[in-house]
Amino acid sequence: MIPRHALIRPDAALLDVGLADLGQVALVLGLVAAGAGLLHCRRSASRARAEHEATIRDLVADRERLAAVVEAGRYGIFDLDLATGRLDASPAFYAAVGNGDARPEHGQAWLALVHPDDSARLDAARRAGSGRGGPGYACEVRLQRTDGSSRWVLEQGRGAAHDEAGCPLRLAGTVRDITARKRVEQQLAMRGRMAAAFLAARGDVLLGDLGAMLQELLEAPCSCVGMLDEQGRLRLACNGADGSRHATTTMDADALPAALRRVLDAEGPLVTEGQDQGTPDQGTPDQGLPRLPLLAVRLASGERVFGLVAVAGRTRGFGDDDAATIAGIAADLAPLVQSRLEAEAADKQAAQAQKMQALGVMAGGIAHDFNNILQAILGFSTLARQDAHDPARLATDLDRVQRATVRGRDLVQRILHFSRPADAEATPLDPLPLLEDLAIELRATQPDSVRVVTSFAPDCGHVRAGSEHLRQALANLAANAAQAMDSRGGTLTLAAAPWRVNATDARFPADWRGREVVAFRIGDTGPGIAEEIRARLFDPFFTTRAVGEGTGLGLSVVHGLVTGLGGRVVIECPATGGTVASVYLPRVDAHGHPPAPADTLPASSLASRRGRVLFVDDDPEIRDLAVTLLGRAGLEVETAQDGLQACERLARDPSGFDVVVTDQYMPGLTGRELALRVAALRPDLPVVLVTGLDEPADAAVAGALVFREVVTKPFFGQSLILAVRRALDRARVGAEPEATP
Amino acid sequence: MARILIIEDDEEVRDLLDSLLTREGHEVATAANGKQGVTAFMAQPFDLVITDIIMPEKDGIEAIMDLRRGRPHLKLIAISGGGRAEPENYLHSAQLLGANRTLRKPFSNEAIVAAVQELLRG
Repeated sequence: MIPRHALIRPDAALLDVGLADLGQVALVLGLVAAGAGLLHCRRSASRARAEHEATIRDLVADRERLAAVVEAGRYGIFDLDLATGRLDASPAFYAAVGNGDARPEHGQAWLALVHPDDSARLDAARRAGSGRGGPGYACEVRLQRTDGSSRWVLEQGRGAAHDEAGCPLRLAGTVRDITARKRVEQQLAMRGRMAAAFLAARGDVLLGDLGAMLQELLEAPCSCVGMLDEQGRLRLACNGADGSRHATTTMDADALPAALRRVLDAEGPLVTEGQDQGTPDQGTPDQGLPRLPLLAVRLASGERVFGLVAVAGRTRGFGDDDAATIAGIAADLAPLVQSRLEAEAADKQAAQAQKMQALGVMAGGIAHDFNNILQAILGFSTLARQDAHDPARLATDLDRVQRATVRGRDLVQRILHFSRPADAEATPLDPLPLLEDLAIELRATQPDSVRVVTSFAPDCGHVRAGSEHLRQALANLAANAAQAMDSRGGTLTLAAAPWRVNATDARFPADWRGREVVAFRIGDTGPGIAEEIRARLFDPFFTTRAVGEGTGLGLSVVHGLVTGLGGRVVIECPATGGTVASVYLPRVDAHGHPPAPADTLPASSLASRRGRVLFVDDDPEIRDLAVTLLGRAGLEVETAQDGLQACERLARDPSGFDVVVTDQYMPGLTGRELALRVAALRPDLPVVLVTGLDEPADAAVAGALVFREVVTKPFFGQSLILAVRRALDRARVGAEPEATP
Repeated sequence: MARILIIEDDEEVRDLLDSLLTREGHEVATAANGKQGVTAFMAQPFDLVITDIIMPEKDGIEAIMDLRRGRPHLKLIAISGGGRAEPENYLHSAQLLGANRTLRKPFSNEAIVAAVQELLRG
């Protein structure tokens, strides 16, 4: 093989020539020429060296500049051999990607750090961008760290060498930590979501949602949002790590941990490392704070404090940047909270104004009706005075006074029901007094052309009903019956009897068959009800009356009332004519247990008999009325103006009376307290309660315990007399007494 | 002795005024609302009309306007126990529209009888 030599030509180009060729050159060019040429070659070589060194200097400078840029941009550089997995990387790479002391030296170890949700995306980006002539790739991924936190990195790279198929053999590129930017972006997005959620949601759901977002944003297992109410209590909606989402609780301001109170008092964010270390400013654990790292800030706008937001439970604790984040969120939310609270206050105010307006309308309606009632009472009683010499006229005048008074009583009752709809105490009720009252009222208020006939079985038993509801239902049906007979008049029948629902009676559902009930029947001798109307009877606002004669609410109200009492209404037109409305209510005993034992009180015992009555009322008019009424009924009456006087009178002569009748509300003792003292003195002495319309619920409760009878004011004289007689009769019958609690 | 029309939707008050003025020797007719009242008046004129204000169908204010139109000498008494507003408010309107006398409910029998007598005399 011929040795070869490199020659540097005058133009500095290298000539690669073999020694064999050199002879050829010498022959052709001559030695002289060759000598001149060699001298020239030596000068060119030294210049080339200088240029070479300059190039190297440039390269070094470039490299330094590149390093500075890489460092300034926090770029980590990597070179990954795809065949072997060998990873060559700069310190900045490990700073961005590494996890404490764990430095991925291998491509697989690096990929293992990528969040599982992001690894497929990274892989796809690398494949798509790193082929021969490819554009390169850029991909943002999350990397997980052993402390549970995550970081975001941006990886940008391209294929560095390729096989024949164009597939990359190496990947070279940069990674950059973009966690801070990502967090800002995420915060902005989250704030938007929070604001939207705040505007859309309501109450605790809203607070719970905010908490969940805080948890996500700050990677904290627990969160809570607390709002102060008007009483200074903190309503907390908490989201726990154990899945107890949206648990809400209310804490009194006093019960709040002191550290949280200080947050509310504007001390700036609270950052604790957890109870085990104690709170920084106290040295001892603060009562009630979680044993976990906690970050809390207050939610306030100007001077107005709405509450606080807090996150807890992150193992690595919270830093200043977290505090800044949550403070930013609180600052975003505060104006929304304020506008929301203001809107709610305005709503409340509007609702209140509306209520007041409604009340005004109602008060106006009441005043209108009441003035008409007073007009009738005043006018007809004046006429009665003039008619004293004419018994027939006098009776008519007084009837009108009575009728107007009943209207007034009903009006008061309606007002009371409006203000207290919960008056539906369904206690065991003996319906007889109520029926007798209703009969008295019907006779007093219906024209003479309507004859009122009653038939009450003495052993009706009890029903579970508020007396006012039952009265209202029956009175409504009676009013319909009377109206059906209009001016021609007829007979209105009011009946009540215990009854067993026949096993084959198709008018009742299967579970009613064979049941013990009390049947109330109201019959009229009117024209009956047309077949096509019967089906619509219970529709609200259905009426056959002319405008102004009724609202049509009557029967639907009856239906509602009776159904509410667990009963049924049946309206039938027997072949014999007229209409019969029946109300069936389950029959119970005096303690509310079905079925009731037969009431053994004989009807004949209701006949007049003598008795000594102690009548207690602080109103002298009522005392005078009672003395007159009960005296005319053949009873001896003594009065007391309050409970204490009554007690003294009884103590002097415990066996001097057969019955005590008392008002409920009096100075000193109430009627109920008096009844308890009477029971202590003489357990067998019956006590009858007379009570105003505004306390029926009290009376029902009290009545079940200590009173034999309850009479509601204003009462018809007959009602009071009947109640006193019933009490007297039962006391006599019960000498071997019924169990009275 | 005069012919008097009472327009009042409350049956008790209507009956009261009816018997009261009948006893005074007047010839009394009644109507249950403003519409019926105006119809009755058109069928057969009266010397004096007593009308309530708040009534269904046609209220007393409208009735007074209808009745007063073209009848400057008709005697009109308005009565009211109030409603959505105080009785005085209604009665004041009634007076402006042509009621000669107004009475706030409840009024005494003597008061209405006196008002009727006074108007019939004048």
